[in-house]
Amino acid sequence: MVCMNHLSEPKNFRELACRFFSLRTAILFLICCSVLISELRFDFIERSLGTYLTSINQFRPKSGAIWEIGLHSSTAQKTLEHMLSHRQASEYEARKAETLQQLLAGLVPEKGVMISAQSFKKLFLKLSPMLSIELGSPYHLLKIFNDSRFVRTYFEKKGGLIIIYFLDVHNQVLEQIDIGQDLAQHFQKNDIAIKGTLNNLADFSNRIYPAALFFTVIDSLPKEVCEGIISEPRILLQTQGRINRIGISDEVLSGFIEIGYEFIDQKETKVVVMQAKEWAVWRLRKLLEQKLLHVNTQKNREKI
Amino acid sequence: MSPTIRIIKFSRWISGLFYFGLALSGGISIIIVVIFFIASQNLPQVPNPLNRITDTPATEIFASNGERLMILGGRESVPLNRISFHFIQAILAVEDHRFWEHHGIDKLRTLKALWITFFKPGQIQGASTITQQLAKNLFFSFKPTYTRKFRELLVAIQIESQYTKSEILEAYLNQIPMGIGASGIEQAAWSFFNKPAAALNLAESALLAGLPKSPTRYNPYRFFARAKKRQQLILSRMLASGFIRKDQFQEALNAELEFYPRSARLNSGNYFIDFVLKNLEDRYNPEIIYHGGLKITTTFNPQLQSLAEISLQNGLSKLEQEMSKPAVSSYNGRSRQNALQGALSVVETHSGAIKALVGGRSYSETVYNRAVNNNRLPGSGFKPFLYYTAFKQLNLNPGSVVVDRPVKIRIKGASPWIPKNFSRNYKGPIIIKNAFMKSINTIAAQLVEQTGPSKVIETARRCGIKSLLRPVYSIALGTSGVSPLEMASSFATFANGGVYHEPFVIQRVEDALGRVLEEHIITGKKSLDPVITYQVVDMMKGVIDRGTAKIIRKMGFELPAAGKTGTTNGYKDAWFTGFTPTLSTSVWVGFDKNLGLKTVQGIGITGGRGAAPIWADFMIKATSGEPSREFRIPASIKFKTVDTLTGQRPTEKTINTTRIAVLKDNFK
Repeated sequence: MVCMNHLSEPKNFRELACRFFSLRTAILFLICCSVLISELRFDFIERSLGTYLTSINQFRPKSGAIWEIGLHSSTAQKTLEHMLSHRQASEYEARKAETLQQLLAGLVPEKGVMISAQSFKKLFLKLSPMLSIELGSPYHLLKIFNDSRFVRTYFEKKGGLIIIYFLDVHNQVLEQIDIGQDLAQHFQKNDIAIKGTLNNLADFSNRIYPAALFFTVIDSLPKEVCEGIISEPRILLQTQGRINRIGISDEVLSGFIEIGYEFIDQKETKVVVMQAKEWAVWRLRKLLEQKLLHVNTQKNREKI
Repeated sequence: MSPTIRIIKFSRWISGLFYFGLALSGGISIIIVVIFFIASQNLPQVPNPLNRITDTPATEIFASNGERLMILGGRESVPLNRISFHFIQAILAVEDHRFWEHHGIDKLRTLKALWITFFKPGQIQGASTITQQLAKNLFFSFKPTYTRKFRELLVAIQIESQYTKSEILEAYLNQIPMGIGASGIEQAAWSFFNKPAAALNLAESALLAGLPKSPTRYNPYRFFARAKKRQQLILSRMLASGFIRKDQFQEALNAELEFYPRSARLNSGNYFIDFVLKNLEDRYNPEIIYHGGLKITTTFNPQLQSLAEISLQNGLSKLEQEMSKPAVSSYNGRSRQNALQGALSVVETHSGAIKALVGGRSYSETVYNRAVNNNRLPGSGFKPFLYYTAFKQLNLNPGSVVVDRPVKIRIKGASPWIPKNFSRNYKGPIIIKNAFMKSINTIAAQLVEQTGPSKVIETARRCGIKSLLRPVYSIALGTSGVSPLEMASSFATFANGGVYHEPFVIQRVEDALGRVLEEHIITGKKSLDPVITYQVVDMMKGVIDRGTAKIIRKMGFELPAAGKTGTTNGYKDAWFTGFTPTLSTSVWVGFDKNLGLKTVQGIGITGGRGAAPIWADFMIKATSGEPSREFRIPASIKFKTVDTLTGQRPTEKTINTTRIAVLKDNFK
């Protein structure tokens, strides 16, 4: 009776012990122990927490190292895709180009395009004979095409120039052709002649000579030098009008110097640009300068 | 006090304690629940599926032969069944042996750790399970705070609820940091043992399982004994856990570990990789480099790099033995900050490809890349640019006679320049080739007085020297700083008949799918006249054959080669830059702090004594088996033998003769 009276305070030690070791206390103790042991054994608190956290997972922020890496990675991939798509688009355009003029027109400054040696050969063979001569000496190109190491061609637009690199498998340049601004325009217009006078073409404006003087000098030069200067006279013969003046370019491009022939037709003035061998042009220029000096001196004497 | 009152008081105390405990527990529980709900809202989202964490592609850097040099970021994920069972057992034994039993937290281990932390001051016991470590690695910083620990614990609990044990273990093993740039067991297995994770044996597995605790501290390349001790500990744990038998334990402990030497090389010299990364950062956003999964093919030649490192190390050690005691003690002592340093760079002459770079004695001690960033005076090493300029501007040739005499050059608004020869004496009339071979300063001074310093600078620029060059007369004696890489690439222009190739280190960059982003086109620029260039090359050959670098021939280097020594005032820098028709190599030796190089006897160490032997040692090995190839001789060049004093055909009175390269027009 005393033990049952839990609301009253125990009067003696026996009563206290009786309460402490009662059935109720034992059951309570067992329940506590079983809760503790089952947690240790079955991890039900962790499981419940885990289930709850999983249920709210999608509403939580994507923060932390792994998500940051993921973000960097996706940004990097997007940037790369952008860069690659630009590059692939220009290479696709280059591969798709029907003519060399089309390919050159599609070039973007500082971003080159690569095509196979075979593709270049196909495009080159489609050029009109006049334009192909302007690209470089036929013998020179024959030598390049005959080189078994030549596997790819790389086109680059750099500071107003178009450079064509003929590459081996290790990207070593076997040969290169530099196309000046005027010649590039020429190519793009697919026209042999550029409208206007030599004075309009910056490259030639410093060295312009009368046609009569030019032909006098040509007459005095050996045959091989003349061939070095005008490798394809047919081109000049086919152009309507008569040659009024000639201009020599200031720039040397891969062993060649451009010569501009100014034609006067009834309707217009135009310039035909052709490449000539550097060494031949030096001889031509030397003689032209001498003759010009001689002519000027004579004129001065006559005046006096 | 009566017993009854005492019992009542005791009873009251007990029940008070009980209710206080109850209230406290309740309170704590409420606080924990509130904290849990607050914390759970800001917990990071766990990716689903978990293996998404291994999606990031790695950026890989390759040598020119296709060998993979380094992996940046990213991970190489492998399924659990392609990871050695030994490794799985080893990592579980050391990191979390109750992994298969717990649910994210090892409560007993946590209680033990708490006990040690609170009641044994000075001792810290870790109790993180593999799941907790995974949570930490994926989402949290490594700053040890209670908040981080609590959040990490919650994420671990969620991971355990959301994924199977195998998925968790697989994710953990694929992202675990293992040092030397390896992340995940597959990368680590390749980096350390050059094999897949599936092929790791017990000994290798136990060694690798020891790395996650501290990848730097237990790096076997640097601290082998420490790594071996940890391997033993792991094997002991495996034995205690019943994963292995006693005989397996012994066998693994005694097994010889065959490490992949590539990693060792990279570890001892990352100057090249640093240079590659710097080049990449100049072109691409760091996000693309480290997270874009690029494949970068470099010009690096591992074999040449290894030879270069060995030659430089050996050469510097030999020099140290010759050097004066105060200097030796300063760098043999505890601090190696003032140690004798050196740098070596190797460039392929016909392309400009940088094949090897050694930026110092030890990358782990100083990361400063002296091969690229050093700006040290080249001394007479600069003279080839002067002589080329003099030949071109003054119409001189190697047979022209000049007079070695005291020189005083007046400078407007400054005191006159009085250059002196190293030998402190004057030889009188002498042909230019011999003056060059003997590196006579007064002749160089007379030449630069005639050409002007700006013309010499122009020549150096044409050859690719980009450092700031002061337009003063003393430029002829190399008084403006340059780097070994600049010297090697500029001398390559001479080797290449006057054609300059811009030095480059990146051959090709592709994305993870192999689509080309860029590739280097090897273009050459005709910078120098080939005929004059050959005349200078012929004089530079004389430097090696009979001049200030004749030690190279004495050491047994037989292939045709040319070069120039350089020594600066007070012997602060010793240089030798030389080339064969295929390789151009520059060696610099000196102290970071401007100390002089002197032997025990107080004799200054010149380029011929300090740098040329290193060059020879490297080139002998680097060109081993290479056929002898001469430099290309222009058609207009003819050779003739002349009297070294008169530059004329030898007569009966002639004492010494020299063979010189002259133009056919000058050939009499």
